[in-house]
Amino acid sequence: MDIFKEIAAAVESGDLDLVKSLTEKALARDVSAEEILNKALVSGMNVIGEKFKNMEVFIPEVLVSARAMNGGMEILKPLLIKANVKFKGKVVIGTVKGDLHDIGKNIVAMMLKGAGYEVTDLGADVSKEKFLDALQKESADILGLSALLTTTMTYMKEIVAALGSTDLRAKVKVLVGGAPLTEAYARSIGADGYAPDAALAVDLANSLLGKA
Amino acid sequence: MRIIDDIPIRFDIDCVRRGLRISEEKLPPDNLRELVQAAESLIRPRAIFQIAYVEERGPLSATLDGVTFTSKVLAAKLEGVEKAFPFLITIGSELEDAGKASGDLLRQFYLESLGDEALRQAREYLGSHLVKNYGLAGISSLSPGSLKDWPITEQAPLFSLFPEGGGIGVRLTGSMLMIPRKSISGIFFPTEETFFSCQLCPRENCPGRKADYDKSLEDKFR
Repeated sequence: MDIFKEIAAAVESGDLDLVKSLTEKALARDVSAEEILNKALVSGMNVIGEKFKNMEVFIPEVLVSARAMNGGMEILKPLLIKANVKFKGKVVIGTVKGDLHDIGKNIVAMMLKGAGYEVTDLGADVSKEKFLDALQKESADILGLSALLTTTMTYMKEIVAALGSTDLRAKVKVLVGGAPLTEAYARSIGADGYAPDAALAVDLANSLLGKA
Repeated sequence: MRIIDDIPIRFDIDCVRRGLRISEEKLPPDNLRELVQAAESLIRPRAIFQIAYVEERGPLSATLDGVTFTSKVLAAKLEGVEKAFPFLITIGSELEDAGKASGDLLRQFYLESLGDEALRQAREYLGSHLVKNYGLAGISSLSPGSLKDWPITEQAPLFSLFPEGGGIGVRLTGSMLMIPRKSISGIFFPTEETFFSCQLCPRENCPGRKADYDKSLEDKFR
């Protein structure tokens, strides 16, 4: 079994220690950090993402695998930075102002990282100014907005409008999610997409950036 | 107003595991037990309710103790009801704070799931308490925000019945978010047949669903 498949299998089974030791083993064999990331870590998380979409596994197992994947990522990170490896895309994500719900957003952030995106998570109760500043600073490709209340999801419209009045809008794709949201609402506020769960958020990000 | 602060919460390990849908391989029994013990030490369940008289009722609203709630469903459910029981329940903020502070998303998820279960048990306990102490045949509840018909903005009139968070430390923000987040609110009312707002909600794949969606029932309230 090649080392990439071994690492991917360890990610799938959520074995953090094994992912770390195999990642070190692969590096010792002069396998590039980029190859380990894409052919092993991301590959393993892709399988978990598909299983989640098919309801073969649920959130806890996704998180167990994501934690294992992250263990490998931490080892690779300095090497990826040194080699100037580009991530699949850059994402700025946050829960909108007035809303403190964050666990769904955190899971989406984790799944996007697992899929090879660089994610800047602004946390909860985030103003439009803070979102725009981060998009500018990170040269982000995607803005992810989360809201869990009908009273806070309306703020998404303000954020999209504020983004629309800048040059950033041409480059940034806006994804929205959260329990009260729908595809129709996303379209009505000018968002580029709506994802009902974390796995579909990854698919949507890939599709919007042409990375499918 | 009555405060109940001796709400017993019991986590059944097997039920918790089934609810989390995770194998023993991925979450060994000792780890699950540790999570349950952590949750038990962190939750502070307490409830407040009051007896509110239905003073007026129309097709679109009902007035309880001088406070008018706009909801066809609530108004319909209060037909023939003399008194209802607005309530607030919380498990405090200690559990969610601990989950966040851990910096471990998986632990946060587990603890929040246990928090949801604790809230569910606390609601059930309050319902049983009302049935037993007020001689009711049965009881149901509705919460603002659970249906389009009774939107979350109706939290404001509900909270007007509980000044200063009712003495159990729950406050409402300008965006209608309850702090601590692990809190629920609503109105209990006597019913012969148990009613769940889920029966009127078409949302698919909802982890909180308590009853099947009944379109014909929903149509009655259009």
